[in-house]
Amino acid sequence: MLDFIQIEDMSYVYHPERDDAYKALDQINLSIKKGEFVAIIGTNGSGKSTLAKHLNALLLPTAGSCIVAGLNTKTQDDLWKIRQEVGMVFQNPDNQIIAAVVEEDVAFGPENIGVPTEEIRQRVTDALQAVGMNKYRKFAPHLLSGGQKQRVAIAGALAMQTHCLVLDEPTAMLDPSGRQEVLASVKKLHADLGITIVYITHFMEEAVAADRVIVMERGKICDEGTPRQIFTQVAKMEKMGLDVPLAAKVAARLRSAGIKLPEGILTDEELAVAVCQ
Amino acid sequence: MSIEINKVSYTYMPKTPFERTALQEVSLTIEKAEFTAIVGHTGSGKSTLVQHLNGLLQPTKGQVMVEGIDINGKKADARAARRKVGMVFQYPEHQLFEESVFADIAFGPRNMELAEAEVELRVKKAMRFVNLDYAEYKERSPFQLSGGQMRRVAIAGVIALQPEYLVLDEPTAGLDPRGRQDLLKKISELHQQAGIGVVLVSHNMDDVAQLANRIIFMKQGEVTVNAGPREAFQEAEKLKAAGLAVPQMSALLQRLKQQGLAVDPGIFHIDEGIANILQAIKGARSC
Repeated sequence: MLDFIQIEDMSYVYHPERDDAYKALDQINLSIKKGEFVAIIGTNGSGKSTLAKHLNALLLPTAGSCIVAGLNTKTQDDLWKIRQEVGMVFQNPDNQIIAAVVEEDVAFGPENIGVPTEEIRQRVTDALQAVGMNKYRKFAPHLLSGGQKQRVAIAGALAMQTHCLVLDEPTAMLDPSGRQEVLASVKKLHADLGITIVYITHFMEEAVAADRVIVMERGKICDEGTPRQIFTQVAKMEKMGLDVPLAAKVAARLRSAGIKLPEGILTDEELAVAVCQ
Repeated sequence: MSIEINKVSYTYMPKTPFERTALQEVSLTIEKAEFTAIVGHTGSGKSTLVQHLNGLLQPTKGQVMVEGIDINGKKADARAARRKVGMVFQYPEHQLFEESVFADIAFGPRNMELAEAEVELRVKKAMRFVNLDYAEYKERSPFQLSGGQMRRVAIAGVIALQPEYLVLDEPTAGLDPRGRQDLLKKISELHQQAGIGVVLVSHNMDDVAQLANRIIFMKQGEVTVNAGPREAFQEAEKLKAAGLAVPQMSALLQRLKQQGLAVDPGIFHIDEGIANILQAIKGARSC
């Protein structure tokens, strides 16, 4: 069986005709399985967002190919099918909501593709319930908190019966409780509905929730593995200008001060147990 | 040398069905010698409060005094007092508009009708401060820079005004970890070396824990805590009520203490925390 997303030798160049042409992606190879939860990390300008925009054909590869659910993003006729398969959620909660009432916003996508009214109603209810926002369905979006707005944006994608959500720094503008709300919703959609998740973030404690972490640097994938494999390489991550969870960082510093600790410490809990043995 | 906020209340859209009180009799003093952090949930009133510090919003009731002068007063000195306070908004890069980096940073100083030689000097200094090479970047379009560079241009535009107080509203949102560290280090230098009074609005407790020497929690338009960091972070219940997390280092030390290690959970600074853990481990390798 094909993977849900299959990217082969994909490159992308911004304004290739100009002097300051910029190669944002450089021969990327990446497969993402159906139902997988993948986090993408990397510094600003490493190509994370450019990669994300290829997953629902907002950008098309300059070279190589991007296949989503068996459809080539370069095939113009499949564009709407691809966008239905892959929903996007961006950083700013205020730029993504268009209607004056929450339920109308969530219904916008299905209405546009001519879903019958009864079914729209059902889809909106299901989508809002899935993100825990059903009791706000009659609210005006501007009265919601940032975390709630992001959950409405996610519901909008769910109402299109999307199989994959691509979230590009969905928590960057939120406060800690808003961040927790959004991450909890994403985890639940992944666990309960089996939705494929591609999650871009600068918050390493969020990336730890993924099955697999992809590290990008200068348009290339420079490392990938489980969160434990990635985040216990403390020196390497710090050299790249990325964070690691605090417990991993403290464990590394204690080891270099001569304290014997087992490898692979990632959480406060694991550090507490290891230190006291 | 301070900004005095005297019983300030602010109501959005008064006498309409949308009337909402965003600040409720807030009184506090921001000392120039301090690095003040204002933290709170989205909607707690922190952005409304800081917009009062240079007269962008005028209090519905109460007074804002910058170094003894009411900034909403009618006299000419009110304008001069407002100019002492520089403001960096959220996502300041969205406010860039000029054709070149130089012109964008020079916009404020030129508006102050400074001589062109002085403008150039200020732009150079401001760019050096934010680590943008003058020769390399002055002619570049600000719109072709990376997000982190654009933000530094925007901050340089405020620095070039040479304010005595600098207010920054979530300056690190969306920056990668290194970009965040670099920017915070710069802000801290401004405070320590140039003696500028800094007010940082943030919901990142870890940033605040590393930098501030006064912490103000806001909730529903009121100040609930106004204290030094050690004292403030001990109010874990109020932190939670304000929708905020305790600094990660405090949480880790708390967990280690539960395990029986003799550490001090009152520490929130990362390096101090590590030193404290080392000491505790060496003191009792069997716990």
